[in-house]
Amino acid sequence: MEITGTLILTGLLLLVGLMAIGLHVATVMFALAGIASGLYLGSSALLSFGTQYWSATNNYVLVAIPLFVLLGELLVRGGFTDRMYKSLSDWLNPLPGGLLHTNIGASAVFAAVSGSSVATAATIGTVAIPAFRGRGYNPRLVLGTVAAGATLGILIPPSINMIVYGAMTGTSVGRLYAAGIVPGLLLTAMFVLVVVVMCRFNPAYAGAKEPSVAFALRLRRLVDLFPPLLIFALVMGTIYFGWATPTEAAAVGVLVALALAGAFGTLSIRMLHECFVVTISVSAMIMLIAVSAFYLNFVLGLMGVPQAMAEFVGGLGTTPNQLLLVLTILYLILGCFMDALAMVIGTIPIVMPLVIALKIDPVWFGIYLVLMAELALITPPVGMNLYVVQGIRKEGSIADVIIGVLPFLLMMLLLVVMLWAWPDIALWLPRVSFG
Amino acid sequence: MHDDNPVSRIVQPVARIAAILSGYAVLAIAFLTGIEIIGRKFFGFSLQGVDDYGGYVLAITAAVGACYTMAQRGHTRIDLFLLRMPRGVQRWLNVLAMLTLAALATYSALRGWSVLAESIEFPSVSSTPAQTPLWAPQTLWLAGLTLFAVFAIAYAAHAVVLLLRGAPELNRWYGPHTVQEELDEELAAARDRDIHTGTPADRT
Repeated sequence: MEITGTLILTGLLLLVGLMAIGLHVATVMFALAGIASGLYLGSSALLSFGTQYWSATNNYVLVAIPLFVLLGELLVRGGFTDRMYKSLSDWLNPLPGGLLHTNIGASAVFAAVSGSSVATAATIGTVAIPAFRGRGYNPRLVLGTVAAGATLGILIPPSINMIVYGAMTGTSVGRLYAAGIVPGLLLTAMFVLVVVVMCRFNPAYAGAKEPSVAFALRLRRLVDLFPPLLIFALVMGTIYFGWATPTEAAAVGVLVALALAGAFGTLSIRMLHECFVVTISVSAMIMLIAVSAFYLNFVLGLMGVPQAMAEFVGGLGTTPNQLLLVLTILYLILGCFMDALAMVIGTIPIVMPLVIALKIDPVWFGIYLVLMAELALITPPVGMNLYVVQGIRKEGSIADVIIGVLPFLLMMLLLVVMLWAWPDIALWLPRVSFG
Repeated sequence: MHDDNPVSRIVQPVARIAAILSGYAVLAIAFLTGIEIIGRKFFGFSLQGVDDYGGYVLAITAAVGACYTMAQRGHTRIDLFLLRMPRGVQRWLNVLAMLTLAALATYSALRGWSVLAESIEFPSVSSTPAQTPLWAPQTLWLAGLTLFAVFAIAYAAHAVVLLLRGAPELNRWYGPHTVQEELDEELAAARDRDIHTGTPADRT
């Protein structure tokens, strides 16, 4: 069978069209795979769906997903994030822009233990937005720091997007984690810098200077930073020293979070069950899409689509940079209306063969893809984080959030360009850590 | 689904119990993994097969959880265009979404059944040292898929009935879960936390 451009284009249009009319993302990918195997491969590919389902979910790498979701839930419901916010604000207040940096810092720290950006936005937002009332900060900048800061959740490891990407492409999740650290810290620093610069040029952006908290109290509350940092250190440390795989490290994180919640007296059967149902719901949502995507991947592989696309791109003499430029534009458009994680999972079967054909480093590409997903979270009209933040605020227009997020959006695009120019921003740490 | 959806009143309690049990299974994996790491690192022993069990738990959790997620309207849909269509069109599309989801769930259960049947017929064990007979985890996995399929069919049938009757609740019960709804749940959970943990809004 010959794979033509028309065929692939038809498939893509069908994919986008069926998603646009609001069918479930998982169903659409499954339907596409089903139609393709019915038309081109015959019944054996259709009948193998059961085996594909089992092997896609019986996957030890992906076990990290429920574990990390559970870890994040335990920390949120254990009340650790709220305390952490207070403690961070003690230390970041003296910077120009004051409390704004706390939003970014708290997001970065919470991101380090949580795999999800929406959870980060909701958690930080509920603590932060009331904290700003009556303090004279520019509301747009406040909203922007929360919405954009929360996207750090998927770039700073552990990251659910990276786990799914790693499992689908056979890339080491440990390497992806290591590769996410420097870009994550860099982006955090760039966000802080933007706020400092903006508040220097227009001091009215920042609210009244806060009286600084007594040093003794600040020291005492420093303890509240300990739980998330301890968990981050344990998770990354056990991976770094080769004591644990990313999945095992996630399990360690869960156990420590459980012990901490017990020690702080916030652990109860009721709280545990609430953590469980959210964990199962989020994981099952991701897994259903992953199952369909794995199956689509399998069907496309049997049809020879990856080779055909690689040959096609090779025949055009496309350079990696040209491909990345096209992909960047494509992802920015897709990100405007697609859920970020669904976008990552859904495009891997089609994009990955091209990436491999052009010898782009899969670890580097994983970080690039996560950055694209971050952008998708704050690009209107369907930037989840924009709505989360606006929803917490319950007043004014969402336009405030969109404008507030713009400076940070520019920083993200700048980081994409930097990553492009200096791939070592991502690749240096995994190289020195794992050789 | 909304709590006042009559089908959900049956599905939700069942799916919730299944989800909580899955949660305990995930927690058990975390504990086994902890023992495994400590044993391997400091005492030179291994439980053998923790990764196998982890994989099984995920497969079962994903199948069982699919039903709970459906009852929460948590399976991802893109609502940007849908919500801008006329309400009458939305009704048809919501029914179509439920029907196709039910088709996916049913086909999964049917094909899952043949996977289990094969494991029983040609007794297969995992290829790892633990050598678990695969029918054991696959039975639970299939039970999860069946639960998902049965309830998906119930939801889809209900949606069709609502469409035929011209019931106004259709879009509310079977439309995509909006971000606002999701957030309201998060916020309710946060308030809940404040009450139960005495969080530090007042700790300044």
